[in-house]
Amino acid sequence: MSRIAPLRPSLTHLVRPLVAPTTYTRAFHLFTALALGVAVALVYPGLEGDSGAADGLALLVAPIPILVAFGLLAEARRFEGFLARLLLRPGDESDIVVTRSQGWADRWRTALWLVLRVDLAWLGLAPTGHAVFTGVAMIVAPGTDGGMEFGGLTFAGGAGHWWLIPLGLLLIVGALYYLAGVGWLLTRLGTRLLGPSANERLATAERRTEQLLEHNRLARELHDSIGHALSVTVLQAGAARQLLDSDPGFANRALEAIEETGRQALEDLERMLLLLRDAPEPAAPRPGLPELKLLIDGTRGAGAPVELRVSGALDAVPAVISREGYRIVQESLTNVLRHAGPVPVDVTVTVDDHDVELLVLSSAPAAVGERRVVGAGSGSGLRGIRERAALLGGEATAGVHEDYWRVHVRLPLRWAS
Amino acid sequence: MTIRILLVDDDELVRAGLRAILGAQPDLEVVGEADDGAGVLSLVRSLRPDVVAMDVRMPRVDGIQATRDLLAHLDQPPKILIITTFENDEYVYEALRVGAHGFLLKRARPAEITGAVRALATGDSLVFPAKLRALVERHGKAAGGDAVARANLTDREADVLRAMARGLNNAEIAAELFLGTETVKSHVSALLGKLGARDRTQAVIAAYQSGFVGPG
Repeated sequence: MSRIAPLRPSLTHLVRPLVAPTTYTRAFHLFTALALGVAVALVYPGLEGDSGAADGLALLVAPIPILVAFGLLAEARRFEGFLARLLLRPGDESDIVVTRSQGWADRWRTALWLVLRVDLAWLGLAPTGHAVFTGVAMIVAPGTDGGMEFGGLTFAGGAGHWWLIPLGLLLIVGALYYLAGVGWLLTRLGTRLLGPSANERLATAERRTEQLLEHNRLARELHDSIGHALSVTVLQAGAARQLLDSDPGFANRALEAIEETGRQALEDLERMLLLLRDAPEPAAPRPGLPELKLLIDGTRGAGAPVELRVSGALDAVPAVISREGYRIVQESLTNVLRHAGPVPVDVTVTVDDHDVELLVLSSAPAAVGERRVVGAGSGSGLRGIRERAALLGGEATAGVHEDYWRVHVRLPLRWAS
Repeated sequence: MTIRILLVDDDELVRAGLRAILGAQPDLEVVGEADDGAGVLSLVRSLRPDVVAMDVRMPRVDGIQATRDLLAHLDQPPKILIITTFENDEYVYEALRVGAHGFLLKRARPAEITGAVRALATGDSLVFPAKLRALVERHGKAAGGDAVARANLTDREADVLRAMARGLNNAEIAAELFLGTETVKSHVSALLGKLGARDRTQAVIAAYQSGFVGPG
């Protein structure tokens, strides 16, 4: 027993390629490529017909231009990724993406993949099929009188040639191992060529960051609006219950406050639910730092004399950081307008090799904070700015600084690499 | 002796509710109000409250900064009770870390609110130790990791710290450990000194952070 036990895992290991479902789903994938290759080859006149070695080579080479053309279509990558996920790595699909090509690198990788998978289909399936049928002929031959002939080989009949049977079986098993090996190679190539490129990884990271930011925004709104309103309601109700007899006037005012707070909270909730139900992905790309000029013009339209100073290349800032930077400036300006009205504001954007620096200075410190928003939301814009900056690996400060209301944000550029 | 209270919150409705609940008690008196952390220091100097009940999130000067100001500029600062909408709030944790003495949810029952103010004013017990523990656990054992190990507490002091973390006051600790109340008091001040803690809350935060007192 103890001598056999260590043998068992290695036996399972040895047999696994023959019984693993993936060997056959991958073979199925090879067959789709074969069909594709034949279909493409049939476009060429003169390729149908006799099957000489020249034609064999032609079947490998001739489809290449058309396959490359198809591979360069952005949509081809999505289709190929989908098929590869289903058949090459069923159950483990993390490494193959199902998206359109994001750039020329993706397109060329898809084209190369199409060519390789069609040629690999020929090189994988043709020998396998040939070997399996030869093996069958060998197994059947000893049971016949006249023997069997296949692919130019003749196997003699009669029980005396019984040894052809194990040899035939061996040939079939060998062919299946070969098929499993080709499937494995195909999967390796697919993971390499259809896996996420640097572009796709970046796009995924950006999407995740934006989801996270959106998530945070909603959480903050819920916190500020609904959480606050319910707290006030509970507190006022508790107070009213205590003073119901001794101070009916207070109880009356408390009930009024509860009613009004509840009403406002429901309005806020409705707005938030609308946000949640609407398409989470923005239809148009969100504006970034290069669009700041438009934002500033809009704010000037609202009556505030805003100055914008830019140094460095705004276009060079990675997309996520650019969009969030825009949003941070937008929120800072909104904050100033809301609290201080149309006062002069200076916006400075500096881009260097390492960071984006945003500086918003409003020259009316005394007014800021005096005209406060009643109830929910006070200060929440600034908190949003801090949270966003932190998520992007940067930092943000806001407060009174040398007689100015000042929002200062630093976002590192290296985050995206 | 009445307990004098200063209310600081940017929402008038919150202040009105708290004022009504606290003011209805014969032993509690709301002596002043502010809608922002900026003027708290001067109000405390002129009104001499025993307890400052203060929101953390406020527009200009928040509760964290106001707590820092009070503790830095006053020889005998009042007890600072942070009042907040949610307990899972990094601002609350930060306020406690810089020295606020306890925290309270705005949705607490009136009896809990008055009880918390009294507990803080009498000074020898902690407000809501279980919630404090949850808060510290959520924020991990980051800062001041092995403060308790470094403090070289005696066995008795360690016992007292464990009891403090459960929220027991000095009399309760004395009863549980079969000690006199005065003995407990001297253990408490000794261990506060060793831990470099300003008060019980700080000591218990350190105990949780260093894993000296575990969950459950």
